[in-house]
Amino acid sequence: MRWRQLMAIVWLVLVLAAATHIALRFAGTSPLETDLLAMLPPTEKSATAEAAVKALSDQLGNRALFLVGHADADQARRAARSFAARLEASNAFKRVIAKAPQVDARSLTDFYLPYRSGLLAPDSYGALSRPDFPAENTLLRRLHQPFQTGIATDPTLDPFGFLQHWLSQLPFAQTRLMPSDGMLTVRDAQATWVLVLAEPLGSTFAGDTQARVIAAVASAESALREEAVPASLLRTGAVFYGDAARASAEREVDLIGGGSLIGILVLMWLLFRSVRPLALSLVTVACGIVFATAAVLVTHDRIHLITLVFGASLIGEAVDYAIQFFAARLDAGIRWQADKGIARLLPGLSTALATSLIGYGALTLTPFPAISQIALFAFTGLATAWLSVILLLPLLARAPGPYEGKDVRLPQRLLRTWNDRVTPRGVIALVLMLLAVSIPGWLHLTTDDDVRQLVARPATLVEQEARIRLLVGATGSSRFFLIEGANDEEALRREEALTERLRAHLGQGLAGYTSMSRFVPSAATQASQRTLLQQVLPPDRVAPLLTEAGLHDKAVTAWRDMLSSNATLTLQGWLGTPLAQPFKHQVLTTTNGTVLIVTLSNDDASLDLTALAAGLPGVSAIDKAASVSALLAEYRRLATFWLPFAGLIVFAVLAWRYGFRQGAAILLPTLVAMGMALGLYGFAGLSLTLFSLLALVLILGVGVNYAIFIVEAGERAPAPFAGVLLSAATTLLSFGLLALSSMPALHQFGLLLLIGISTAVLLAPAALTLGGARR
Amino acid sequence: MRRLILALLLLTPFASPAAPTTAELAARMAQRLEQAPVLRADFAQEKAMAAFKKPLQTHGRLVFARGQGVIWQIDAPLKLTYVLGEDRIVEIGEDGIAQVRTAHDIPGLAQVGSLFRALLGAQTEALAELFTIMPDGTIDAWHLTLVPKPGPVAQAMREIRMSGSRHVERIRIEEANGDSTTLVFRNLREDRVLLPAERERFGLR
Repeated sequence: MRWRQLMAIVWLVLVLAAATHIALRFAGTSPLETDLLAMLPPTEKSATAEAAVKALSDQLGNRALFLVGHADADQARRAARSFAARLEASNAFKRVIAKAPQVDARSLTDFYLPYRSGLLAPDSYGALSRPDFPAENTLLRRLHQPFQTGIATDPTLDPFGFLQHWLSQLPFAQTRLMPSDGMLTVRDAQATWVLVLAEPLGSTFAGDTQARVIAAVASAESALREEAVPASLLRTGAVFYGDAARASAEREVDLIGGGSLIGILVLMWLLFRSVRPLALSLVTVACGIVFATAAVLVTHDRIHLITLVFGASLIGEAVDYAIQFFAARLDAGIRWQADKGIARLLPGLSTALATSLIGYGALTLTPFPAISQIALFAFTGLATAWLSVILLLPLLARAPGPYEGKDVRLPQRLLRTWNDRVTPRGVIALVLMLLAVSIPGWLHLTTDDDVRQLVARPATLVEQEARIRLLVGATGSSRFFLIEGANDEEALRREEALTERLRAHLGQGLAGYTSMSRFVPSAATQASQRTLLQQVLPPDRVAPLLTEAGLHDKAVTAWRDMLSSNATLTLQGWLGTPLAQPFKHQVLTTTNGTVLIVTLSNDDASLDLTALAAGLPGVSAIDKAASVSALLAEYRRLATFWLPFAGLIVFAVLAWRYGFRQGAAILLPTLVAMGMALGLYGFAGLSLTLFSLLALVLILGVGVNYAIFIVEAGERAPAPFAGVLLSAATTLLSFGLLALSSMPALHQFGLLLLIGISTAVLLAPAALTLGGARR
Repeated sequence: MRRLILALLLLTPFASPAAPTTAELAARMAQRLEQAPVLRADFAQEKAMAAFKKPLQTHGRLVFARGQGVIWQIDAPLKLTYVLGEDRIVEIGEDGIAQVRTAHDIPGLAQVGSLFRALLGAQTEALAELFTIMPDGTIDAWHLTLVPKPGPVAQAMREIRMSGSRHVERIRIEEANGDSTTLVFRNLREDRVLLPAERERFGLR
């Protein structure tokens, strides 16, 4: 007896320690993970590729982008200026940019001028390569053109306009935004939109940063609305998605956790009519949740929102062990002896726990960080709730309960009716009928591996982002190319091989691309372009043309000097200029050499990146979304194979405790439930995903619990049967609430568990009919 | 007393031949375009540039069509035609080979194109987006001085002066680097419709 009390005290101390750990972690910076990308597993072959994905997403994710729109262009600019000023004053942002970035034409021209003999735009190179390059015509066209697009160069230094042409095709602005009155604007049918960029102060994914940013934007937006003709605002940025995800997760935790708790209290009151069972059951659940949360926080830096929401739904299942304990106490009445009671319950509770853990164990086999967190949470939560029942309840509920179980008449009648009316043959017939009805549904099953199952994004934000993309014309595509080389020169050469292929697709599935070699050709390319110029336009040929056109003699000298210059532009030289600032994230230096990123704009599905990269050394196509989808598909197939295996393991556990015949009888209701759930999915036209298959494994592990509890209690025990119904009701309530989650993966868990477990519960008495009670 | 009345009369806009407002000019040009959506003219372009020993002369013809754009046909010293549409530019050489470039190929083309069209059409409303406009003269013999608002246009040019009556007759662009371009239009002819050959150039059937 001493030994038991000691254990209980040790246990309670551990609970307190875990609770303290949680409190300390939440008191500091919030350990909640709101970065949606962190939900996704590493998918790329190399660490370099993952680093590139991260670099690109940081580049885009660290800023919030706004468009301020008004029918009147001046009003729009004024509104944008005051909006930016308000954001600036809020102290929520590191930087707020409303002014159009000035690509300073002079410094750009001056930078490239010394290297111009090696710099030819692709179409200039093409024209010079043809056998009869029309030198005079090119010169006259350049001099007599009625207007000038882009940057004008001095005809003395650039008589044919090759440098001018080179400068005008640099991929500085791959957007439809145009500078107007010092701001970047774009017009659509209704309004002029003005761009405002803002960099949040602090981490985009930290809760306090998000709160500050949201408040600042809300107050600046309401100021926009107060104008006589209000300006409209579109926004996008990871900070908004992160905040929305956190807010909706918190709502769902409140809904699922609160709903489950209230439901459990009401249902338990109906059966037990006493405060003690309620309070003590909640203590065991609280222990489970505290240990589960602590386990995740100890092993992980941050807790995923999806884990938190799922964790709330675990309450309904974790309370089952305590319910079984108190149902046994109710059944025993004044004959209750806590030690004997728990000894009698232990095998059944242990078997139920074991099958549940098998179900959740399947989740750990997937590579998705958030899903394996859920598994860890459930594992720890259920195991510690079970341990709490065994260690604490016999001590805290030693005395018999005050109530004699009058209110179990309804469950009693239900059980008696089932036992009297239903024969083993009837059960077999029912099972066959249910399966026959489900089969046509199975034939309609489809599958879906879209990455969006993992990441829920609120519709209003998605809609604004879509409008911004349409207006701005940039896509921030998640697909890109990675070029690896032993040094800058090799990387640039390899990149040029790729961009030559890309150019053929411009206008067909691709609007543009940004590559470093467009700013800095490889030394080899610069040399060959210089040679071409020397061959096609030697000073002897050019001099009379320039004189004839009326240029001063110094133009001839300049041409001669240019052709004899060997100045070669280097990647490092370019990166050292302020002009390169917006593109720095596209160059990574690793221990193995240089890595370049080629980004695409407005690429559509018809562009096959893998085919474009095929056969090019050092070039790989990266498509994070497609990689994740492929991974989802792979694991969905794996889960399909795993499912029968999991069934065998559960059956082995059951057979070990109950023997073959009774074990099979216990498993049967759950198998039928799974078959029916699949059939319903087929009929409803819902697609099977990795998460629905994982949910099937969970049904397997959790669904058999109720048949186990019934078989353990035996047919003459109304109170335990009422306890089984109560357990099932609390679990169904929690999973039912989980089905309301906005996170697609959790929604599917909840929905399928709701269908499957309710069927398993309804059919659970069949286990008694077919296998008999355990004696 | 008489002097005072005279002074008052002089100050009153009704009595004095005051400069037209940009809105009046805009209305006038719109009305003219309504009556005759097509305008043909001969042009002479003279570029005075530091790089050249003497000014660079260009001669040719132009067709301005409301809603379509501009055909800019250079006759001397080389034969070259530009067809400037809403969002694309076609360059047709003497050999008849056409080079089509869209606003997407050339960033800034849409802007430069609309500026060019706005200048040729004296469309003050469109010009006001980029310039501060100072009108002078009368509605029948007006002068406009355009000073670029801060931005990329101001980097490239210092000032534009244009004058005309029923149409634009003269445009002078002072570039930031001291070079200047003067465009003079003569022999202006209004029309209601495009000729078949012109329609083809604009890609109309």
